[in-house]
Amino acid sequence: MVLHKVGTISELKDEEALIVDIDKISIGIYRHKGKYYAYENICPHQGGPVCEGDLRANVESKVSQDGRRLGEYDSAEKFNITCPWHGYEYDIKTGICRSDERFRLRPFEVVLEGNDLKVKF
Amino acid sequence: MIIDTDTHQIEPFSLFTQYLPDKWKKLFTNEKLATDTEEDPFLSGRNQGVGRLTLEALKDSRNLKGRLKRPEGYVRTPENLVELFSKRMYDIGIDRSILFPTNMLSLGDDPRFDLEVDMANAYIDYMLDNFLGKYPEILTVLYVPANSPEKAAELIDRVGSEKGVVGITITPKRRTLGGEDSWNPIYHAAQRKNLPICFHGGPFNGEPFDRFDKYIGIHALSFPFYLMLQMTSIILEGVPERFHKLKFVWMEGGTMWIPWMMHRLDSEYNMRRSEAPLLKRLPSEYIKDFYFTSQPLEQPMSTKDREAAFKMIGAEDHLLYASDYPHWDMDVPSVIYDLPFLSMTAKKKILGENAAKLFNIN
Repeated sequence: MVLHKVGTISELKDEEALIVDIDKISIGIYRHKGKYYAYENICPHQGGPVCEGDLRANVESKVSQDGRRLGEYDSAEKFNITCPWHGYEYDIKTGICRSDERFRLRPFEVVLEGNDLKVKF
Repeated sequence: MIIDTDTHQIEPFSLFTQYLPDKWKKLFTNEKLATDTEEDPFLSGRNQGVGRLTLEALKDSRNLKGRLKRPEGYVRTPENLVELFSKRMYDIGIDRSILFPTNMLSLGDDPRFDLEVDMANAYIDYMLDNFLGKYPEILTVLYVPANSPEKAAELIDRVGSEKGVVGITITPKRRTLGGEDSWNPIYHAAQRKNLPICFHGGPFNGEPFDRFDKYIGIHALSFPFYLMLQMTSIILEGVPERFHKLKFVWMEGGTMWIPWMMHRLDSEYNMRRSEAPLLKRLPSEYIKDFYFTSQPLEQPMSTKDREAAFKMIGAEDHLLYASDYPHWDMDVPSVIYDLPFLSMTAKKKILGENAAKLFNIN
């Protein structure tokens, strides 16, 4: 395992992927709610550039006790990376597909060294 | 060689209105129609019959509120067609593409049959003047005005032997069914020219799908539904027995509906044979003679389920890879190549050899 410098913290925008190529691997790095995440920029569904998609709140829905739909809303806690090709949604915290756990993004550990942003693989 | 049997670009109508009689040109003068390709001018079109959804809501739902991004080159201009089309074919590994007239997929339900005739003629003339025969990688299927079968046959006879025309396409949502005798001129012409007839799934507007308020339900059902409608008529009215040389291709319904149709029609036929006296075999046996495009290939929980479905439909010899690129539910060739139960021989057939043989593509 080697640490690869991918940039500096100042290059990374909140809630938006910084996409870099290292050793022919495309990686998206995120800062989401103060924590750092990195995933290979390949959707396990059909190989789409998943990190080029939006990072958005998970859409949820509430139901009343008597079964009525009370409307849809954006989760305050759960956020997803959405593949721009087919719309597959992946939990930003785990890389696991929200709708089908067979599909999982390849994660990388993010390491901060001073202002340097590094990923380990 | 990988052949994509169903691919699209979105053409602003302004590209081929010059080929239309003057009486129709006013339909296309709305500037939005020429630039916003989600609009169309047909009475059956996307701006009609969306039921509980407004057009804006339908668009919004269709692209997942902006989550889906369109690739470069989605909208065709005279300047970008060949360059961008070739680039995107290269990007996903395609050698030959069969291009569909995307904006005409809802035209079959328009009550102005003469408009369909003129649009069909205009579109193919535009394609012949600009692309077919000039770029070997770009092929097309001839949209025929099936609401006017005699006119459709004339069109087939006029351009069916032109370079780059590899088949005939009929949009399945229309006011008549393929088993009716009125369609016979189309079948005779298709046999004369040895061109397969391709039914392309959709469209999604209108009854009964306008009851949904989100695109997920509309899209899930409408594409295979209209294929089922036409396939049922064609089989039960004995078209394969009346036109032995005809070849049929069923497009963009995925694959898993086909085993269901085989079981369903066989079951009904065994109980009600007297209502389909032209048949000499079980309906499923006629279905096994048909061809199918692969997209959108479903994701069954078990590989064994898919393997069983592939076996039932004779996929090795009758399945044709299709991308539907650049639509949101497109499939890249690896969806076939990565299937663990297929031999390399079967993969080559599905990805290109079956289509080359069926459509006579070199």
